[in-house]
Amino acid sequence: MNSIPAHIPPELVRDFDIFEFVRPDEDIHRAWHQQVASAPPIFFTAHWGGFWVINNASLLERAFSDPALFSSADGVEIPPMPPGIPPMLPIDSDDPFHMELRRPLNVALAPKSVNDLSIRARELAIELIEHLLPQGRCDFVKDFSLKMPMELFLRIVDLPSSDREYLLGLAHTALKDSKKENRWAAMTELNGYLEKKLQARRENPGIDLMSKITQLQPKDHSLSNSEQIGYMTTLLLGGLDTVGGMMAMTARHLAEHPKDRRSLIDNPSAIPDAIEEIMRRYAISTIARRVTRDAEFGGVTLKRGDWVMLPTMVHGLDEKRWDNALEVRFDRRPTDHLSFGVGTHRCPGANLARAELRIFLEEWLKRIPEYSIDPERKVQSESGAVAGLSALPLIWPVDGGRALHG
Amino acid sequence: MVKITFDKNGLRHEVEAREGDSVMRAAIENGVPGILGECGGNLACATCHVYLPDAWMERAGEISEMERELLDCALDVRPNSRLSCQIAVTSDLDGIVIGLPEKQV
Repeated sequence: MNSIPAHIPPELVRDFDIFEFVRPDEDIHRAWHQQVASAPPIFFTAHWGGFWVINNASLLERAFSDPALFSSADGVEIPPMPPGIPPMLPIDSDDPFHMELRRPLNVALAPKSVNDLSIRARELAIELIEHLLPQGRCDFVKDFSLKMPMELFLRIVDLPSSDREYLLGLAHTALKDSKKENRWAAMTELNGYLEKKLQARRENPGIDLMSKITQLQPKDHSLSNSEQIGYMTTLLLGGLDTVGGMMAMTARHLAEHPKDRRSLIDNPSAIPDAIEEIMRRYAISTIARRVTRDAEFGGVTLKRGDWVMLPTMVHGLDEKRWDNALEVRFDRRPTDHLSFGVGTHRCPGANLARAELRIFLEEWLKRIPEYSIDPERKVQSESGAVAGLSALPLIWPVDGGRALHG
Repeated sequence: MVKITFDKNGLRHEVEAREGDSVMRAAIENGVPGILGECGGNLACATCHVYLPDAWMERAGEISEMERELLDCALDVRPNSRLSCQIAVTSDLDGIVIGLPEKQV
């Protein structure tokens, strides 16, 4: 499993495991920053069947923008999904098929739709924060950051809010459980749930995105039941721990940087710029591609069939691209960070993600302006395809007094 | 070069655009505020929405089915709306004044 193919020069091999990149008590972005500074612009690791890691901002831009060399059709996960799991469409596909698949999704996440969804997002944010407020404490990850994206998914595909907690439980197990069997069992149950709902839409279509997925007719390729399930799974999971993770990164940054927090409380109109800068500094997604032909790239020789990892956090933490990359400066106003990717696969939910982050900050800072990390509990980082926090314990004063402990 | 003026409530930005580029690209590269072009011209985001003067609609070329579908989901769409990533800069557009919406998102 840990063999090195013959075409890989030994000096380009590093011991890098995406799933064990940092310990739970380490800071994942500092670790990436260190790696960008110390490892070659592109290197190879033998873990998980062996793959290249792009470790340089400009190479990352080139790879994202060259889908003819870096294909998504064999999947974008390292290690590849086990056989039998439906493909994550439309991510796991190349143009022109990919572009046809994206059409209903682009419409569902376009500015006008995001405006409508924002109304529900704000209601929910207020409801959740008002509920947490008197408690003086929460685990931000469990109690807040995943709930808003799940609720909006349910809106987009017209499923009842009452399924939210059930699906959050399943999604959490499917994505985060340390036992592979548990992850797959949860995934199977999730797929079964989605399969039933898809069937109901085929019999009784509406105008929601799920109905449109059942009606998709790409040229020369009608979508199988399994592909439709895969599309739904991508929708459900794709906006969940990504948006939730970025929200947690934002909440932690502002807990640890009271000056930055104060500046947004005093001037909420600076929130959109702050969000862009936080997304640059704390990008969390990694995505893989497969090489379509032998080619020179970034000074190395890639062979057809090689897997390549594109970690978006490398871009925001490259000192050659950003001056003092670790420093968060809200007036930096980055318009070209890669946290949503770039090119044809660029995150279709970017506008919605921004709206969710903005609404969270507007409503949270209004109600809980003074908060900090609970010194008696631990912030926990997690590695993996989407990096993030598995726990973010926060406390704040209640009724003008001290935060509750215990 | 082709002269294109972008106008948002009377605030104007004049750019010299390269033929063959899209109008969206010309705006982004010249730092025109008010056009986002989120998706980079892949017809995926509807954030390069503009208004063309009626008399110029035909010169800007046909609107495709895919553009129509996405354009309908932009904000404050009017009969003279277009997505500027789908308009190629040609000498036919020299001197055009393109209106920008109040907001893209």
